[in-house]
Amino acid sequence: MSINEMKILICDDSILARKQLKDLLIALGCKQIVEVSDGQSAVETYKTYNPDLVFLDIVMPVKDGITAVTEILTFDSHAIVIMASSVGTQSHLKEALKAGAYDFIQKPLQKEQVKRIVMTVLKGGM
Amino acid sequence: MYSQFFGNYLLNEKLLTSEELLYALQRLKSKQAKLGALAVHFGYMTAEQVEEIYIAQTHEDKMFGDIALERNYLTKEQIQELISFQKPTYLTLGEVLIEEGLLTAEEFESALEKYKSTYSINDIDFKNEYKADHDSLIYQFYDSINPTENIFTMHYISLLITNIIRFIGKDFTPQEPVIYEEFNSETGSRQNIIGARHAFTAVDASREAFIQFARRYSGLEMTELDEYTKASVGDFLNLHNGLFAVNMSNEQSLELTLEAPEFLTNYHYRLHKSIFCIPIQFSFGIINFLFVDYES
Repeated sequence: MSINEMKILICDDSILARKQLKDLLIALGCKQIVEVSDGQSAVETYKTYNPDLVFLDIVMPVKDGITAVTEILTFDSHAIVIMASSVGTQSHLKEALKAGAYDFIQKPLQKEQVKRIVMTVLKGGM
Repeated sequence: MYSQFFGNYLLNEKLLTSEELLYALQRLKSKQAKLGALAVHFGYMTAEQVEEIYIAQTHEDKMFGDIALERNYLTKEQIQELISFQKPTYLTLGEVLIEEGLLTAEEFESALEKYKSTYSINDIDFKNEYKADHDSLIYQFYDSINPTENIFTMHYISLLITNIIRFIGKDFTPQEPVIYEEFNSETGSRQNIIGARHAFTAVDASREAFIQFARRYSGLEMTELDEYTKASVGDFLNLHNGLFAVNMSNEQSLELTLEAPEFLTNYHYRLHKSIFCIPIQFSFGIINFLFVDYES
């Protein structure tokens, strides 16, 4: 898989947070990016879009990130889900990792963190 | 931080009109250098290191200098040197007021002396602006909230003022707090704090002030009430409440979590509890911060 073939799903209720991550991914060469704004849409979109990598916010309306990561992993146990955590969500973060999320990154996201994750997925290292 | 409260004092003493204060606050913004900018200017830190510290401040409630010291980017001596170049805001405010002919040098000096004696602030504190002194000033300013009985609320307000300075700017003055039983919000975002203690938090403003606040926080060009402005104010609330949750966990062993922020217009709040309204006058308008501690 090359970087422009990698399918990425971004899920965050803040349009600014989605834009920031999308801009970073585009700068890295990613081309196939789909955005959604709540956990329910993330689960539904995962099933039809079948992404290689998911970035999931924790605190969201309709369905939170913990429930969403659990449902995504029940559907596909090989899903690579990265939790994007805001300050003050440490206790949720532990739950998400326990539920099977692969890793987490802290917001505001930094280019190097995102690059590290994308490169690891590309190399099939996860 | 004293300078922001000093602005309110000048208003109450009728030494300035609110238009004059707003004008001075606007001018103030262009005259002040941040510690990070000075550190780059002096060649002590790279722009990347400064950016790294700004990001670290979104993860924990710490001063720029303290993080720079922890990461060995600055020595104690360098911090002191930079602080000495960073003129205290109250002096810059005085300069603007005098330059603009709004106050004479004598009027400014006399008002400053009266203010310091009213709030028992000594000269050293006024220059260095220590955190402990911030808290004592905030407790005095917000005494109508009954600080000793509302410690949780006071922690919230104290951090709010710090976060406004860190993430929005120094050009504001707090107005007297108001306690409401019901509140009509024109344009706003709200977020509930849950977990070991429940609280309601919200931001309310006129449409125009809401957009300007969003613009300040995001640093992006924003002129309309759209998804981006709504997200920006929601993100500020989420960041401030997140830092509050971290502080409460570290200082009070209270584990708090947050619900997703929500945008609302023309909303009538009636929460069966007193709503503390903390109005902050910025150069672009008034932003009301609402707080309800359900367990007070």
